[in-house]
This record gives sequence, C-alpha cells and structure tokens, in this order.
Amino acid sequence: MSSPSLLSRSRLPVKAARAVVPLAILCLLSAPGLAQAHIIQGETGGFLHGFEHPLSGLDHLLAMFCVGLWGAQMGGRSVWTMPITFPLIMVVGGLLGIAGVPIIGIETGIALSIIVLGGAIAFRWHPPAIVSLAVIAVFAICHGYAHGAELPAATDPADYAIGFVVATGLIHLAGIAVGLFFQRIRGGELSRALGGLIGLGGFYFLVAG
Amino acid sequence: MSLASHLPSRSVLLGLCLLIAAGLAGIGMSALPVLQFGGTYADWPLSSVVNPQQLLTLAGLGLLIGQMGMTADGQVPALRRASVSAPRLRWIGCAVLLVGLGLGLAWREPILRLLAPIPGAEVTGFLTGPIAGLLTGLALVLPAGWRARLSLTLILPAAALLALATALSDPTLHAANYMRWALATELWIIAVFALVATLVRHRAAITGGRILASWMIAISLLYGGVEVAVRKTAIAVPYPPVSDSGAYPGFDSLLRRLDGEGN
Repeated sequence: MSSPSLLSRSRLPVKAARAVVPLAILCLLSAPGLAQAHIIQGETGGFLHGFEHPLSGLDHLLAMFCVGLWGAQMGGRSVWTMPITFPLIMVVGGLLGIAGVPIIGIETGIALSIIVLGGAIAFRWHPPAIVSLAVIAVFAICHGYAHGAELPAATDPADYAIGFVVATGLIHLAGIAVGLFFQRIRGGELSRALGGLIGLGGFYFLVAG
Repeated sequence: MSLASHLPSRSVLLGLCLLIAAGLAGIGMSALPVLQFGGTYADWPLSSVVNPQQLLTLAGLGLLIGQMGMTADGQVPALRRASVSAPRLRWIGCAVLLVGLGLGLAWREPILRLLAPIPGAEVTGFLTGPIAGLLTGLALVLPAGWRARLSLTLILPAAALLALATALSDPTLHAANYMRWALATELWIIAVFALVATLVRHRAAITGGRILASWMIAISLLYGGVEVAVRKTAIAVPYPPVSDSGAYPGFDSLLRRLDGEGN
C-alpha cells in the first residue's frame, strides 16, 4: 500500500470547503447541547439504551462514522480491517471501564479521535495498514472505556453491551457506504470535504469537553 | 461484478421466503398463548432463543456453515481444486453442528464442571452463551485459509455450549416441550442464515460475515466481562456460612439454641 507524504497530497477541495465550513461552524455553535464526549451519569437501561448511546452522542457518532469513511477512502482490505479492528480493541477499553480502572483524558481522547480521523480523511492520509490500525486502536480504547464505564450501572448490562456494539458497527457500515459512494463522485473530493468538516467539529468537542 | 449478478433465481428466493415465513408463523403462534394471557416477553418460552445475544450467535453459525468452501472473494472453487466439494463441506458442517448440540446436552455435567471455576459461574449461566458466541466469532473472523481448517473444530464446542446456554436459560422451568421447540427454532434460524450465505456468493458477503464476527467477539467479551463483574457481587449470601463439622453438620448452632430455649 502506498504511503505518500502527508503534505504533498493535502489540499482540501477549496470550493467545497469554503461552502461547508462556515455552515458547519454555525451548526455546531447552535447545538451546544450536543457537546457530549459523554460518559452518561445516572440510570441506564438495556439494549435500546445501549443502541442509543453511540447515536445520541455526536462525538461517538462522528468518530465511528470517520472509521468507516477512512477505510472506504483507503480502499482494499482497509475497507473491512478497520471496522473489524475497532470493536475488537474497543472491548479492551470497555473491560477497563467495567473494571473501573481510572484513565485520565478519555473525553479529550474522544475529541482528538474526531480531529485525527477527520484530518486523515481530509488530507487523504494513507499510511501503512499497521499504522492506520494502531491509530484506530488507540481511539477505540477511549470510546470503549466511555461505554464500558456505564455498563455495570445499566439495568441490563449484557443487553446494553450488545446494543452499543451493534450501533457502533452500523455507524461504521454507514461510513463505509457513504465513503464508497463519495469515492465515485469527483474523485473522492466529497469524502475529503466531509472529513475536514468532521475534523473541525472535533476542535469544538476538544474545547467544550 | 455487481451484487445482483450473484443473486439466486426467483424460484430459489421464493423457497427461501416460504421457509422464512413458515418459521416466523411458527414463532408467532408460540407467542399467542403468552399474549392471550397478558404475559410479557419474559414469559415467552422462546425468549431464551429470540434475544440479541443468541440471535447473533445463531446468525454467525449459519453464515459459517453457509460460507464453507467459499474463497475470500466469495467464489466456490471448482471441485477438482478442492479436496472436498463446498456442498459436501456444508453438509459436514451441519452434521458437526447437530453432533455438537447433542454432545452439549449429553455431557452437560462434565462441561459445566469444566466451566465452574469461572467467577460467578452459577449465576451467569456458566457463560455458555458468550463463549459460544466467542468461538463462532473467532471462526468467522479468521482469514479464509485458517477458517477452512478451523471452522469444523470450532463449530463443535460452539454448538455444545449453545445447547447448554439454551437449557440453562429455560424460562419455563423445565416444561416438557421447551428444549424441543427451542432447538427447532435455533436450527431454523441457522438454516435460514446458512441458505442466504450459500446463495449470495459475493466478496461483500464474506466481508459482512467478518464484520458480524467482530461484533460477536466484542459482544461476547463485554457480555462475559460485565456478567462476571456485575453478577458476581450482586448475589451475596445474606447470612454467614454454616459449619460443616460437628455431630450434626450445619445444625449444631440451631440445636444448641433450641437446647438453651428448653432451659
């Protein structure tokens, strides 16, 4: 797999970026309630609550979506190795969360995951597979920890776990589908624009978190 | 290559739809008495089968059997290139599945004794469900070469544990027909997924199987982890353990107290 320099292929589609960036900033500023690099406090439920968790937090949603989008952009085996690696490593973070092992900076890590993954898509960063999987793995631990920390408090923890893993996987699949579709339009420029947009959104979560 | 070009003929699809409809009708009819008497999902005998964890394992087993003999790009190699033909391999997979289910029920005690050291085993169904899901997920996520070699080996224990998980999660408290209907439903679900996997010979189906497998592994590990973490501490004996020594093991303190009452 080729690994071109980051900067040599890093120009965003300028027209698209000009159009969408102000709109994105406006959307993010008008939705402060969505700033939830969230480890939910209080009572949690079963399957539906677990399913809802990655969907209800924009931070999780964007990062998961980026995993699929990045995989689709890289193409080849990355289309499936990345969405497979993510839940498998997420378990490690989940188990750490269940065990109550204190890890600092989880919410910062989640916000960074959006920035890095969005940036990787925007700059069309195609590192060797092992590097991309390592990047995914680090962030998967952060997201898994956030989910896992809630599990023991859930009314039905087992079904809660099933719910959030299935939802996470479905968001990956949505990312792959959108990514594969966008790759056919204007040489993947739309994917890059979307990645840039999401990456910028990550800065908001970093500041708000 | 488009996905549409890999889809089966209309008559085969019709047969599959009929199989699905017949099974759904049967499942629906089994729920009627519960609805009639105002019961809930937990009162439904098949709730132990039709739940997210069990369904994923059953779907995984179905895909595993249905995709037997397929290469990584979803093709079935010509007979002369493979030592055993793909259809025959699938039948062997079905046989191993049935043997595994039978062994799980026949060797229930030895298997449970083997799993007993798991923390909180007695209140977590000996983690039979999550382990069955884990084994199935592992078989599905393996690269094509490894999958061909290890599938049958992993289906056997997965099926045995699946049968045990079904028996241990019996919501009817040993109704005469429970195991018969539960196993029939499980086999129907596995058959539907196996047939779909057999019919759709496309690279995307193999990739889909792998993605499902990663979910199954993640869910099984989290499910198991959380069951052990939560249930182990949830059920604590609310009284001190009784002594098992003395003339009347377990009753000495009670007898002494009764003697005291007599004075």
